[in-house]
Amino acid sequence: MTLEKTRAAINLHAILRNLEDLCQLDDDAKTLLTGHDLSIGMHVPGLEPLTLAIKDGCLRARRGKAGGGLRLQFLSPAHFNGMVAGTKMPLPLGNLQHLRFLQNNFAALAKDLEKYLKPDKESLKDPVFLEKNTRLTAAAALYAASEIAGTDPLGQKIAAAMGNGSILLEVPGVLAYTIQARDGRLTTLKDAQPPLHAFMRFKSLDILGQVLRGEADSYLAIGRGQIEVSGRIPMVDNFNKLLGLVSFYLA
Amino acid sequence: MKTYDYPNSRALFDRAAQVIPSGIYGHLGPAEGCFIPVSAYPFYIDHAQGAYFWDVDGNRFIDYMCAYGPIVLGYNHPAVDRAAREQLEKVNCGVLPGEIMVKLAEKLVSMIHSADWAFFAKNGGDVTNLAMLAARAHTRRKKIIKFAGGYHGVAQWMQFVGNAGIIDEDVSNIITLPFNDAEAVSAAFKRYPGQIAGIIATPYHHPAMADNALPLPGFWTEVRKLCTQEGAVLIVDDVRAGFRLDLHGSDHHYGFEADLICYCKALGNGYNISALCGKNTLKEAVSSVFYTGSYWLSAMPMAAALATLEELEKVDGAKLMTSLGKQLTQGLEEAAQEYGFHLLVTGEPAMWNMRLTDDDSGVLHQQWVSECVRRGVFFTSHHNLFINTALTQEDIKYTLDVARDAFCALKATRERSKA
Ligand SMILES: Cc1ncc(COP(=O)(O)O)c(C=O)c1O
Repeated sequence: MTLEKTRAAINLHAILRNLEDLCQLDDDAKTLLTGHDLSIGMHVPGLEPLTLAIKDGCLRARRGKAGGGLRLQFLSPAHFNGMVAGTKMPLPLGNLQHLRFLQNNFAALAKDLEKYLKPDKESLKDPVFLEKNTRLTAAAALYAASEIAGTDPLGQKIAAAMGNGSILLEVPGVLAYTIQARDGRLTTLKDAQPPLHAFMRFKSLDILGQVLRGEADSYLAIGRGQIEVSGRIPMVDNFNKLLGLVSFYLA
Repeated sequence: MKTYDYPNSRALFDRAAQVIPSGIYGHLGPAEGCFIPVSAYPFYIDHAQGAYFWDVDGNRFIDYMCAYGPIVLGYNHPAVDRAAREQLEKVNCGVLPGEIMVKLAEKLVSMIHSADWAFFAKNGGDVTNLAMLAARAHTRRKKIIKFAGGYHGVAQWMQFVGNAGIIDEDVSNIITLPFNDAEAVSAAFKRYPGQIAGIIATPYHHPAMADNALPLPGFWTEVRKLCTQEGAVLIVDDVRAGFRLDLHGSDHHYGFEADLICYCKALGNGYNISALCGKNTLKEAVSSVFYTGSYWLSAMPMAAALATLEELEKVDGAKLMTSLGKQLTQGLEEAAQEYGFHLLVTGEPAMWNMRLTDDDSGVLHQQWVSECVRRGVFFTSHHNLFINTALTQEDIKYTLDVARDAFCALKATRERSKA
């Protein structure tokens, strides 16, 4: 069972947030942003807003609202999810001169992201594409886990059992995220943010990608030493349960 | 000291991965969180004798997990194996039970203080589950109190929402309280008057992944009193601690009486058998529960169990293991100190728990344990360990040498990472 509100939280703070990473990884995305300077605030009832600040071919995604810029107001989580699915339109407010950007460039950007997050089999054969797919899928899954912990009732129970502390999930030298747990709330952060209490180390980006795409069995990967777990094991176990729920939401 | 490699274990795991979920599932599996790092551990056993086992790469280990408890007299104990073999030659799984079943029940009733009868099954979880059913049958109430971190097996009601396959309804009648908190127990009885069928608890708190805790003075007296007063059944889960603390029952060890007491692990020295024992007041309730299994009345494990109990009495097993455990844990604490570490030992000496307190993530402890394993001392990081009666003074000395060498390696790694 998936919840509309959790889906919206994931669409906002895990999927659209990913545009930030996309613009760092993908030249097409950068081109779509070049020459534009604006901020877009996404406002969904019941969720913290997301602000996308676009400047010099870069996009930064931040939780919370920013003054000025274009404000996209949604009537409900379902309304927002409808926009993401391409079936509903947002209500634009504020600085409307950027509407054209929204209709053209932003829509193209979203399509570009979707290409990586919902790849076809053929594209995955290209190693450059595969790497981008893995990085973006990892970011989506790890940010989504925190949203599930915040809004899904089962996710909340699992997060409450995690205790306080930080998990490092990394492919050493390649990619690192920290998941901070505090009083049942989770925050996903880029890079290693000490102090760290639990560790999930993937031997390669390829292994991480295989696990995230559901091609490799994570239990076997642990047995084979392709994923090394250490530190506070109950934290990792519970986080893995959250990742297990992610697949239902991102499916 | 030489350290071990495990190529044959790994090759076997690759074969297993093709045909067995997670390669090795359950508590012996590398994904269960007790093998850290996985690379330090063997995966497959070849043979075993006394306090040792040899893996499929020919490495010898002193086994301080004792198959997670069952091996109490050491592997291949001659008297136990002889009794099993003799029974096997007569009959094992038959169309009727044998005399051995009566003999074993008589033995348990004579040994275990709170036992008026015995019911046999295979695994610990079979009898903890039966105890819960009997408590409900006896009281016609729904709710069961258990303590946070206590492990009683894998039936749905013993698990947690969030575990794969478990739903809210499975645990909706389970009340989870902190161990050693008699006031919380009293408050639960007040909150759910006439609704609590029973309390299930290990005799002392020996959760995995956490320090262990002995019952506080007065805890059991108070819980016993509350159960009697409220008409609830007091179930002691002695599956893990049974026969390692006290041959008369761990409730006896801590000075109280259970209504139902669950045994498995050490009961058969590795032969598959478990038992629920209890008071006459609950005999009929147990009879009334619809509960059985294809192999539960098999004779060979019963013969092995009888021989195990006789042998444990002969060597005063619980006392012996406690004294070996004290000696070993003291030595380990001292070894840690010599290298500037602090090893915290909790629980009971015959099945102690230990943890290096020098970092709060557990990584240092995991590294030390893994260095011990690579040198032939089989520990795991986050589960209590076990003594068996086959352990010798020489084994303890060897273990302490290994522990020192592992501390030395740990210290070197730590200094390197600081530099
Ligand atoms: C205290 C306790 N109760 C019950 C069980 C379940 O026993 P089994 O795994 O034999 O079903 C265990 C197993 O570790 C245990 O330690």
